[in-house]
Amino acid sequence: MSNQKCAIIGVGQTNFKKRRDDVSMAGLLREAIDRALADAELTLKDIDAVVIGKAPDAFEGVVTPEIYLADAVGATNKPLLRVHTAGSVGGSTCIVGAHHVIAGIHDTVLAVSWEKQSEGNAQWGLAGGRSGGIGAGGAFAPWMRAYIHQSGAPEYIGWMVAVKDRRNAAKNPYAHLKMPDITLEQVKESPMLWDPIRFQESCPSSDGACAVILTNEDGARRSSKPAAWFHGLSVKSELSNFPGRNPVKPQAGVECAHDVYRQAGINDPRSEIDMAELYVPFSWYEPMWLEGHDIAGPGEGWKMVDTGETDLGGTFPVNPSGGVLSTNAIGASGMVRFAEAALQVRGLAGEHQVPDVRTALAQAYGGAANYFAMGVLRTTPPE
Amino acid sequence: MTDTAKEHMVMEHLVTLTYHERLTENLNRYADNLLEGRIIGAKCPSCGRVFVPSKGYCSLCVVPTTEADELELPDTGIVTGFTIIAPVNYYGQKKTEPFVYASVLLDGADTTLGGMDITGVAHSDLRSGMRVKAKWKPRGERSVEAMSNRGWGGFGDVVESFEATGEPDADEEAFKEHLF
Repeated sequence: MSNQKCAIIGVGQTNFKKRRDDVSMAGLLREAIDRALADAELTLKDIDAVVIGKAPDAFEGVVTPEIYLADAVGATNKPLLRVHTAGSVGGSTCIVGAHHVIAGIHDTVLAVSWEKQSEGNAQWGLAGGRSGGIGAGGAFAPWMRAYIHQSGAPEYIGWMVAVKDRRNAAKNPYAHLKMPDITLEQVKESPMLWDPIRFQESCPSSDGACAVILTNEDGARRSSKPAAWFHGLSVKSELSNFPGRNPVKPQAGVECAHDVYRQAGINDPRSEIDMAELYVPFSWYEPMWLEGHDIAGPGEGWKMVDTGETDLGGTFPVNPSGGVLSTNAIGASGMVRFAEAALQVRGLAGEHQVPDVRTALAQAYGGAANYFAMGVLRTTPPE
Repeated sequence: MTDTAKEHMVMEHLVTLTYHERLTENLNRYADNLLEGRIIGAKCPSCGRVFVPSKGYCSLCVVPTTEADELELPDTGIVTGFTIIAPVNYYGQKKTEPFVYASVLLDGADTTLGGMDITGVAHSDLRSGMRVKAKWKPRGERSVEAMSNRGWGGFGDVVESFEATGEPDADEEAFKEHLF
């Protein structure tokens, strides 16, 4: 009972908003779960195990919510595991679910992740309640400055990423910030939050959940819709701070990328991958991850932005969904990358569909950019 | 439903928890010295890298460091990475004006002190590589209460800031591997 092939056959997302006062935390999760089950043409009875994930409890002030969520997520009398790897948790939750299937322990697994940020204050949570909190943007800002310095990228690259993602989000019915008419000028004129990041180059704070249904070959055969098959999946981590650490291009991110490329038989990611959903909460992380995962060479990532290569109509579209820059319910954000990559592979992404996607890359990062979760999804099962 | 009934749907539920964390021996010595205005690090007996504060081990060689490996460091160094934070308002936030958030690499150290304020220079003139010196708080105002065994906190409560010295900037080689 080992080495089963694993596919995503159902994807469900809530409508992400600043506040979802109309539902409880449990109701929020159930909304995503019901949509994923409907997409997979299954019911909760078909689920063998549930894996859930969210960012630190301090973000909402609701401590160990998994204790009261078992019924709402359909886990009664079934295995329920909670995953936590900071901001990358949505990605690693999806991968832990997939591992259940690949290991042959369970046939069909529900993975769900969320954040209901309006119930608390993530800035307070990150600061541990103390004054002088810097937020995630403040923590990453010195490394973005270092990237800009090392690569010689012009300032407008960050603005371009923000405009692209917000315009893409306008095509995504679930996205939080939809700004179809946003201009470079508007981004440039927005207030500086954490130099070099301006207000419009930063992610919002969202309420929302994302769920995926993972299954094996038998399970996929029963679905009438196309499946998105895992060809590679990997979680890597490293210490947040040690002498010689390169926080601009962390080694764990390099290792994680090369692990999934190797599993999927990818030699040249830039030409062999059709689109990517990368975790970009602040504009500069798009070129940083293009280089950080060896899709682009050193100093070449920003040029892919500059030439429009990462646009929805470009040769290497990044975040056609609008990405984390447009929608950030922190715990859900990593899983949305995998869910959106799966939708692209299945041809079900609607208005933000990239034509003819055969191979998609999903990536999430978290902590001090020291947690990574990545996956390669394809239209056909691995050999 | 009346407005009065709605008021009863809000639950005030304030929880406080006070606990004491005993610092490890190496951090205890570090904290005691900080209160006296001295900065103590530990040199890895295997690779020679200097950790400030000492973790009690070298995280790269995975060998212990003891009191015998400890050494005093100068209170001078360079700014490696930095940003200017526009403070976000949240419960407990006292900052209202933009402030510096910088990492400082002390001379002779291999790890940086994070979250430092840099003074004596306009925000717009702040640079990586800039030479700085600690501006200590008066002895009675120093505190190490925010120090934790998780490896951060504390230093910002014994110094007011690091002040620009006006000396020539260090070369990029000196800080490019110490960005944190």
